[in-house]
Amino acid sequence: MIVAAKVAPSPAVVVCTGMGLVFAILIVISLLITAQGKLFDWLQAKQNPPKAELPKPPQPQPAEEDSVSPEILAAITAAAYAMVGECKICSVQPVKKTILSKSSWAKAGMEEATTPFGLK
Amino acid sequence: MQAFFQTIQKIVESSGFVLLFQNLGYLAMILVACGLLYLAIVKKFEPLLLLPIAFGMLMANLPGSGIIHMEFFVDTPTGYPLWEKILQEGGLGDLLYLGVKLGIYPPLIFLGIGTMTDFGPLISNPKSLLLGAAAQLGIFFTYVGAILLRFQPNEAAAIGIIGGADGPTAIFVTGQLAPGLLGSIAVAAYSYMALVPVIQPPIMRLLTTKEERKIQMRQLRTVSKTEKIVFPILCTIVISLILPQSAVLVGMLMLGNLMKESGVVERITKTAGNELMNIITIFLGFSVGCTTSADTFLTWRTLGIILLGLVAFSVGTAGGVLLGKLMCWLTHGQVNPLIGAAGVSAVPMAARVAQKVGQEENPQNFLLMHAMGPNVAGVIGSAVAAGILINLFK
Repeated sequence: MIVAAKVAPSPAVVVCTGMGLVFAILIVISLLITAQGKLFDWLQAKQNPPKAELPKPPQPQPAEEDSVSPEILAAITAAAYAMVGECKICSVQPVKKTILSKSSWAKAGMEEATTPFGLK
Repeated sequence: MQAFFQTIQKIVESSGFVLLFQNLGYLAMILVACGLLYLAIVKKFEPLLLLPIAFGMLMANLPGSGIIHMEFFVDTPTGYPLWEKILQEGGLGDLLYLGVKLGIYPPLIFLGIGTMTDFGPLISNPKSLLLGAAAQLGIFFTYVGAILLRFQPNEAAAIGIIGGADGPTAIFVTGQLAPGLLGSIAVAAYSYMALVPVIQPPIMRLLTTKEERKIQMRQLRTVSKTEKIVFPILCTIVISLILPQSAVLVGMLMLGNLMKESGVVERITKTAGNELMNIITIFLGFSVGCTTSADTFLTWRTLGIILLGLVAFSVGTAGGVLLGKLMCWLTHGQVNPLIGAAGVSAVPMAARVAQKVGQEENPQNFLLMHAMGPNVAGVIGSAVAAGILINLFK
């Protein structure tokens, strides 16, 4: 059996083929990654359709210092609703009971338990 | 009494000291090994591999140690390793070297590298693959240089792969194409990889302007977990079908990465990235070191390989930076050309160099994640180039 000896290609062929193939393969992968990215973006967009823009709630106006207190404002609003006769409960908001003062022993205990070690 | 002296004389004659002074090449190689040990221990030049390589070199050049028999592997009458001799007379070095000869260690190292690699920056910016491709210019340029220095084509291909700046790939290709040059090429490759922070910055500064180095790049898009899982599978299929010679290297790299990204095999991921990789690193380093005997290492060819290795790294860096400049021009200044230098593998050292050089000009510039894209692309690119060279010359 005669085995043909493998003839080495010329340097120019090696350089052109080698660089050409490296670029070609990496360009193919680059295109596939781009396509994959676009596909996943599309799938994600399909799963989570963009929500229709809701009308923005009116921004609460900052209360001026010498204006009516919230209690008086609530009473006036209730009276106005009673006059118009369209009174209905829109929402019920829970009110947290705030502790106005703690004993000095309780404060010292809380500080002891919550201050980081490095700051003690 | 005479018998006693005769015995002593016999022991002295067969001792390593006599053989050492009969061939001064051994002494020179011991000095080279000690020099490499110094670089690994004191200067911390790629110590994980340089230390076992240097110690293997030291042991292989202690006369009479018989740690390895390269004559069983290289220039054999049949062209194949002498299996019977290896099994009957071989020792530790011979058996460990089989992992290099059969191309087992480099893919296993790639498996471990895969578990530590994040392809996220590459997936979020696929154009960085082109920079990884351009940096392979060093491989093919050096091939021509080696041919001009009268190396055989298969040897020239093995020398050229140093430009991939990827130790396991260099060992994989050399083990298949020119096993006689394995020691010289491995030492050159790992030495230059350790010297990346010294070799690259002057080339990067020379080829870029101050304004280009100051360019800040846009933040990368977030990559989903599914994309990260699909990428290694896709990459393995495409590359292996186009270039089957690269399948084992790319496949193992991607297997490691898939194990990491899927998150379902945490135990074996840890093993592949730690214990297995450490064991293989010891075997690989030591057995490669054992191949460096005075007869094959202390030659003008080794000097040529070391010189060509430097050329390979420099041209590879220049290739990446020049394509980076082109991309910068095409995108109207959205790409910092410095990240092109990270296209030579040397993960993550080359990316860190790009970050450092960029930050010297603009302290607000954070190029590291942008440079990691071309950096990991360089690993894929050098594995592809390795497959091409094996295809052409084996």
